[in-house]
Amino acid sequence: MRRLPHSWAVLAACLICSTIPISIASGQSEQIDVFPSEAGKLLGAARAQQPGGWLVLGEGFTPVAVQVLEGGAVCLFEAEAGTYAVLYFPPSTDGIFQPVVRVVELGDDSQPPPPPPPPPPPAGKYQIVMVIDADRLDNYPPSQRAVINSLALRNELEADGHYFYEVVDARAIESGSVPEKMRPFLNAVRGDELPRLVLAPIDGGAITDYPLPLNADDLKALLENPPR
Amino acid sequence: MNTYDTDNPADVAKLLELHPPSNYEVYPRRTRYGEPAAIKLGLEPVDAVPDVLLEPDQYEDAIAEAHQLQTLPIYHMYHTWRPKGTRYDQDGLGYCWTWSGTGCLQTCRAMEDKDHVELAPVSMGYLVGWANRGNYLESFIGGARQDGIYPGDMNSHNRNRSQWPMDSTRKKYRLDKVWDTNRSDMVRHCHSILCYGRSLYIAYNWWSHALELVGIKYNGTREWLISNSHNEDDVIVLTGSRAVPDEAYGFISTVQV
Repeated sequence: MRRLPHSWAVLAACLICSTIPISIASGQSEQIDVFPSEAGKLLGAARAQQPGGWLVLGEGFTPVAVQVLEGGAVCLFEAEAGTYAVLYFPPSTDGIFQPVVRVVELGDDSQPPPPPPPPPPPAGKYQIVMVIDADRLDNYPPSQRAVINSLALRNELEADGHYFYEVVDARAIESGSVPEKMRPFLNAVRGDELPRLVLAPIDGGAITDYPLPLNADDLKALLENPPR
Repeated sequence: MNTYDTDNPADVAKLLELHPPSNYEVYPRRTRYGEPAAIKLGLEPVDAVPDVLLEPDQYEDAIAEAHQLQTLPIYHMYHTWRPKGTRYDQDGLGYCWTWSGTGCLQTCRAMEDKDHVELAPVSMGYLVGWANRGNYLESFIGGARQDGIYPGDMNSHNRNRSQWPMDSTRKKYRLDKVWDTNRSDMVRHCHSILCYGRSLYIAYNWWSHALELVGIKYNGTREWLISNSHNEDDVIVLTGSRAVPDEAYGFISTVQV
């Protein structure tokens, strides 16, 4: 059972009004009760085939006050947004009461849904591909060329648990000589300005790419905490 | 790792005994640095890439850093096609011009992070009509750029042309960009290309021999680290004034196929 629909609210209002004497025309002031009775409260209702007993329990089995209508066939209650158990006790002929239990969610649609939880932090180890434009390698700063050429850096990255896959020349993309295993990495940088650093989690997953860091320290810092 | 001081006549005598210059395995270059004929062969003057050039006061620091980061070609060569202990041997065949050039191309591929494929130097024998004959380094460069080197045993001496067809297989292993060096600025050009991250295809006229320059080291003196093809199991080291090559070409890139 969900939040009380509009028609139910109208019905409830009518039922309530039918039990409360109103005399507008006479000009007399009458006391009425309106629901919800205060801000932040929501209306819940339940209806049975025949009059019976009602019990509504909130979190921690906290009883909630109910209004019983139609001689006990309708139960009305107001409470804050949350989950409630509505127990209906039908009349018993043998002294044994078997309640019927329904769970109802009272929600507040006016509030925005809570933000999704943040994604879990990355595993921290990556498959690493560097995509370069070999025709422009001489334009790269020496420290960036060192990132590309350094065997010591590759060994260090692998000792840290990463997998240094390959340095790929963009001309390989143009010539169509791209190995199948490389396609996802190269597709990720399509249209981007080279050189790029392309990462995939070591056990597979979403591929991300960044400008190739200008030196080894920046590369290691990026691998520690890749920007999102 | 054998070291030879080229200013020591006894060491020079040892080198000449390994490889007598009378074999004429290498002919001095026909073109001149920077001239149209050289450029037409694909020999781009390295002075046209000024961002790469080092100043003399930068040599030692740049070389030290290149060793620390292992960006010098020698490390990639050790890591791939010629680990320490691997023998590379032209075995009396007058083909130093292709043993060294093929090694240089393999090192270039290694530094480009391409999958290692062993290439057979003898497959370039077509350039000399499969005879046991010397050649110009420019000729090897032309053949390596146009036709490529056939994959196979890098110590094979089989000059049977049917073993090494001129087909699409060798086209996958072609040289592309080459930087030329100026003999008058050879030390600077060699340092610059090595620190850029590529090896050099070199020749010594006094030795009539071609080799591959894979590094430099400063150890109280300047040591030239060279991959030779006389059955050594490691690089050789040349020091002294005659260790500066007379001719050198940086193998900068190979083609994508």
